[in-house]
Amino acid sequence: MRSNPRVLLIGVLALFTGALLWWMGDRNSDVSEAKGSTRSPIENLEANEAEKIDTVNIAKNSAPPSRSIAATSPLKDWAQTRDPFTGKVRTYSGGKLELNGKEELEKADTFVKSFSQEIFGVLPRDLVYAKSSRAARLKVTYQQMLAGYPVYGSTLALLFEDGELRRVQNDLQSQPSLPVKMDWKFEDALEAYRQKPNGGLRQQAVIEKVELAKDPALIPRLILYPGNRGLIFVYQFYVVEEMRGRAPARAMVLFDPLGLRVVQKTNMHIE
Amino acid sequence: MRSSRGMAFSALLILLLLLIGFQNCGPAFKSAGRAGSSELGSGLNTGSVLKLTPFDGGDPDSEELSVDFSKRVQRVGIANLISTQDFLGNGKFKIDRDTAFPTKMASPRASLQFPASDSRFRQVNTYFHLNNFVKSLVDNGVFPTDFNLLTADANCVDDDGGRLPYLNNAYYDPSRDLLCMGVAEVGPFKAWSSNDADVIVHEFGHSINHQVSSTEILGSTLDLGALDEGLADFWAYSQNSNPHIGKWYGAAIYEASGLRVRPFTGLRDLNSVPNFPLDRTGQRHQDSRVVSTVFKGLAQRGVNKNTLQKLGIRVLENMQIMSTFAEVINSVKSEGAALGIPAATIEGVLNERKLLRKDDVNQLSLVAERPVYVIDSHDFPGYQENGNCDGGLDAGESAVLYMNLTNTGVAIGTVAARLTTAVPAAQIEILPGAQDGTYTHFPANTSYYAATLGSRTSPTYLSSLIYAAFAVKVGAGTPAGDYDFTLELVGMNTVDDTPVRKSIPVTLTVGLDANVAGKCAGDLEQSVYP
Repeated sequence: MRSNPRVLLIGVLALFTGALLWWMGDRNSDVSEAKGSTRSPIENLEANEAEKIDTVNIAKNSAPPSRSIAATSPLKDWAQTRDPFTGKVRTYSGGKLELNGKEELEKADTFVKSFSQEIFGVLPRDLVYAKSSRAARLKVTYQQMLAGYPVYGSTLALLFEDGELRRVQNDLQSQPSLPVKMDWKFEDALEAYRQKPNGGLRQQAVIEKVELAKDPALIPRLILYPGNRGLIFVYQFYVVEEMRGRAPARAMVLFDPLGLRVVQKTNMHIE
Repeated sequence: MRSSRGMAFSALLILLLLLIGFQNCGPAFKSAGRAGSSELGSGLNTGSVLKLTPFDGGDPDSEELSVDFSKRVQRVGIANLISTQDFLGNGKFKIDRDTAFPTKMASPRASLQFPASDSRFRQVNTYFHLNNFVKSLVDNGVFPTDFNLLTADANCVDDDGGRLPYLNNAYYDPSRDLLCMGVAEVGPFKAWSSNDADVIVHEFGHSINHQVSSTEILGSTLDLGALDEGLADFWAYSQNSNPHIGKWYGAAIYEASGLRVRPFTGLRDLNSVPNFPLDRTGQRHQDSRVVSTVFKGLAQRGVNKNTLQKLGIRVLENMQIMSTFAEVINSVKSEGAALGIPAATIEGVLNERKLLRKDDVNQLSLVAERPVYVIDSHDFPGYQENGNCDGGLDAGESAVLYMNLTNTGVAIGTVAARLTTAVPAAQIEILPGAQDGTYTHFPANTSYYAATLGSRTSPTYLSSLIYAAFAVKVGAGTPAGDYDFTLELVGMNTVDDTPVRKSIPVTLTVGLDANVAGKCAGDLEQSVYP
């Protein structure tokens, strides 16, 4: 018996359409699962945080937020390391991700715009390109900002090899809430610091004289610092200090103008 | 056309002459005790002799040190890039500042041969070693592309302040992109760090570390400070092939400080195998051997210099805020594997140093008789307010807390700690910047009672244990009573993905007798502590 070619073609097309519809349906159910019940408690927490930020965004801008183009995290199958205290994912590695873009910088930008809100709960507009450097790999670093203030130590680093994203390092604050800003004067904070220049929880040499570093690039500025109950405002400035029996030393100081205390002091003379 | 060819020829000729002149400078380093020795090669220009004058009155050890130094200089090779400006530099660094001798700058437009007594000799020496180190990283493809141009001050007396003490150590300042090659004064003798190849590369190595990682990251934990120092030592070793780091200048530092160590095997000996975790001190230079000797161990097992440089850079790239030794070691494992170093080789080196471990913090508990020290004096003015030296937490007071722990098991390494409380911040606030801490280690079956570091009256300070310290502020209107805290501990884990954690409930009693000005007999007195 000879088969009719027209019937055969229609049959093949019908089968193909059916398979396509079935496959699309399966994909959709995958997406809805990923958004809901299959998440770990920590993933749910991260997603809830992202949704909260969306809500804030809607309220502020009276416009729908720009949702991620991806329904699921492209890093979900990558190896993860977590912060042992908070459970937050610190590092994604062990996978490869191809991103749109000619150069790595463009690809990094694609990643941030597409996934920073979904994965890290941070709006793309709050991640500002900080630097890129090619050493062993190409590392692109973004600085987290909030209302124009940098958040100390809060960065997202994307490491590329052979044009592919290979490693993601998350030091971001996923619940960025702007603290109340008061009308501080830096001069008052500096004077308060001069009264109590010893930072840290170990005794230090007696500091006899404190001068503000005069380098033009080291202008004092107000930044945000992640405390144990959210972000606080601190002044970041650099000092030159004379100590009894020692050579003058430089330090970077983070000073809480509300509590009038040193939050962190980092020696700039790395011996 | 002819004119420009002539100019090009002239420029080439000048460059050639400069290179010849500079090449003469390298092998011309000679020790005081070995002048004319055949090992220094022939054709030396005896006009440029480095005499590392014994700084301790003729101790024969010093002469050996200087011989050792000159040998290292011999191995480094010949510089191949010279700035066409009036100062030395190669596009990555420049030597256009000299705070001790500001009017004497070595210029490639003139002869670069100077007697060792001339300060410009040290500028050339600094250039020589930095240029070779830079070239080594560039050739290996790991020199960071966004490197900030660095200024190297080869005779640095630090213009930040007016006084110069006996020791102005060498350092890297990330806020100014500056290398300050300082000096140690040993009696009438000035030992300049820029005479020591190890110190030059070590300090520049810090600039590599900070630009590949960041100052924020490397300054965030004790362990990352040790990584910074350990890799700086490894960079020096990779260039100069001497595991006794800073042998010449190090001896001068000790002498300047009134200490004489004989035999002196350098500031750090990379041939040694640290006894982790018991050797840990919390001092970044001392703890650096945890890292540097791993790299030295890999070199001993045949891993070549290029691969080790790549490994060091990849480990730096992986570091994050609050990383600990566990993340350093895990990065050595994963990145070493990515570079093709056999797992057995890496594990052999790590095992030899007891760095493959999963420490069980469940064997830690609060010391029953004195679980917490409350330091409510004025020893930590950044954190303490209204202290009354009664050793208790009072309303209106800010105080430092030390948690005393007892270890009922084997020795364990770095323990990360965090203090939390659900008490409203208006009543009790754990101060920002003072909620996280690190215990460097716990020896086996030992209890520790910590008191104020440097306390004048307390005998209980233990230098072998740097303990986590926290600071809390009690609101002025906080009612007296017991308040609950939680001390979270996480053990070092380099074996799998799940470190051992433990939450220890802590109860602190708040009293009402704070803010009694003058109650402390003296600001530093700690008489209430056992």
